[in-house]
Amino acid sequence: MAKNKSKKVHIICLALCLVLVIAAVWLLGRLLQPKYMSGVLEGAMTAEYYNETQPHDVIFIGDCEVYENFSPVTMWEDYGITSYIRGSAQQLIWQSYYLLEEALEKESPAVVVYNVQAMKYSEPQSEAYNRMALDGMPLSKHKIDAIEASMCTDEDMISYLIPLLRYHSRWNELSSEDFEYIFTRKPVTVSGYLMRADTKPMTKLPNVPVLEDYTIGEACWYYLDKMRELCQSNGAELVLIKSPSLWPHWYDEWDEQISEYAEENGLDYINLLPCAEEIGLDMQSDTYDGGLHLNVYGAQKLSKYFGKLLADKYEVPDRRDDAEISACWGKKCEDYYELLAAQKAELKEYGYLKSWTLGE
Amino acid sequence: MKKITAIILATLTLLALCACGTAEPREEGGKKEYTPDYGELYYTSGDTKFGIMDPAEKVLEALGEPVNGTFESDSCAYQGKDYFYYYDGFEVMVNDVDGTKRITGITVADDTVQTPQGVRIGMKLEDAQKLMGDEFKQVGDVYKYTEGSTVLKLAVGEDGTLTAIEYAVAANDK
Repeated sequence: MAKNKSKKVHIICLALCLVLVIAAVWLLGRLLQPKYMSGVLEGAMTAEYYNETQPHDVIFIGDCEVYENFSPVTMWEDYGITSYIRGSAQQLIWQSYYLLEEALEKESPAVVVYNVQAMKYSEPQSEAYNRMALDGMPLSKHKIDAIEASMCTDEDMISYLIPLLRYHSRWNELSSEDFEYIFTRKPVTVSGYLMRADTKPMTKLPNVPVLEDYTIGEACWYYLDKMRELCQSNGAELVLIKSPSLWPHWYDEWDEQISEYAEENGLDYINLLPCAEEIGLDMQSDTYDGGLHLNVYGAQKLSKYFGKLLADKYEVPDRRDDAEISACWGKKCEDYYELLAAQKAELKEYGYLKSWTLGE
Repeated sequence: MKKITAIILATLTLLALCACGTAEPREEGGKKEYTPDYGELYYTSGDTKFGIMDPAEKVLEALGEPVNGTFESDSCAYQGKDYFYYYDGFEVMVNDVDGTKRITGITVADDTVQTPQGVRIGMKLEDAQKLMGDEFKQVGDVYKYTEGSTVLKLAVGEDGTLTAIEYAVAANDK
């Protein structure tokens, strides 16, 4: 009897130990993971999507050419369009696919907009970007598939699932930010849009580099096919776009291949580069980094133009009459203008965005 | 109870070891002295001779103020930066390579300049090949000459003349 009791106590103690170890590993992982709350904000973007309370009629997916160039708030204010940008830095097409797959499980947008710039990459590129895109996803089949597709040769799955294994060496870099945001983080975007209110006019762009092969890789077509089928089965219209960023260069050869694919598969492909004048973009005032990305003023112009297209051509509904949705977007607008005012104030005080960049 | 204590100690040791390790790339011993490996695949402007992977500071100082300006291309989320310097007839690209700014690209921008071998934009491919020799690899319309870390690319247009001349890092040439 006493022996049985002792065995039970041992099992309970062992279970408790196990729970404690798991909790310690989880807690340390949370503490040591980068928080991306200042300077490099892009790593915090993926996780923000899960705080959304209302569904969206339009989902944008892609790299910096969507999350820096389109302003969902402008599309809401002008056309009553509800949209979200599921973007991340150098988001590769397989990451776009799995982020979309995950989003379509949660909601049913009428239109999915994919920016094709990333189709120049048909292989995993960088662990840092992988982490920024994937660490924010909760554990799911989508995340595991996305990690599998994204890993560079020197990466392993386990370190994505147990962040402590990857970030343990950050113990001597910990700052107050790591403790402050250990459990909850402040939003860095408004509906996925990463705002920049500063301006750096475009000067001369470099000579276009010579490529020996302009063929878009097989892996890209594979995931674009999957994306098309996914949208089709979810009743969403997939629209391919090329954002009007001028650098890195978008080659005519790539453009032709995308145009052909779109035509063969009955998709719309809108290259916004030749529309810059019609949009009203002025790369002397509408970019914050010399023509790579638009600043908030450029993003507003592009969003007015593209919002009209979404409303007229794709008949995306105006939701401004819906009280609940209006209240939600009222808060987003408030956040947007607060952020804009804060950035303007910093520009006035320091001449550059101190809190949103790594410095001058 | 001893077993449980052992498990706890083992776990704590493991965690402690985790905290001591490093996941960052390790420095490979001390810094080696740099020796150019581009052979004849270098570029000259005036008295300045330079090539791929040369430390940029001295080269840029020797070339003087870039007469046609500069351009900085930040990668997303500050994961690196391309620096471009525009001179008369050519451009120089600089990147941070293991903590040192190095020349990673030289592009001949127009037909006002030529390579040390005499190759220039607008020249017939056959004439360029006579100057450069037969040790090239052709991929589509691009003819590549490789030496050490450098690849010199000559792009040819439909009329058989050179449309672009570019020195690049061979390892990045995929």
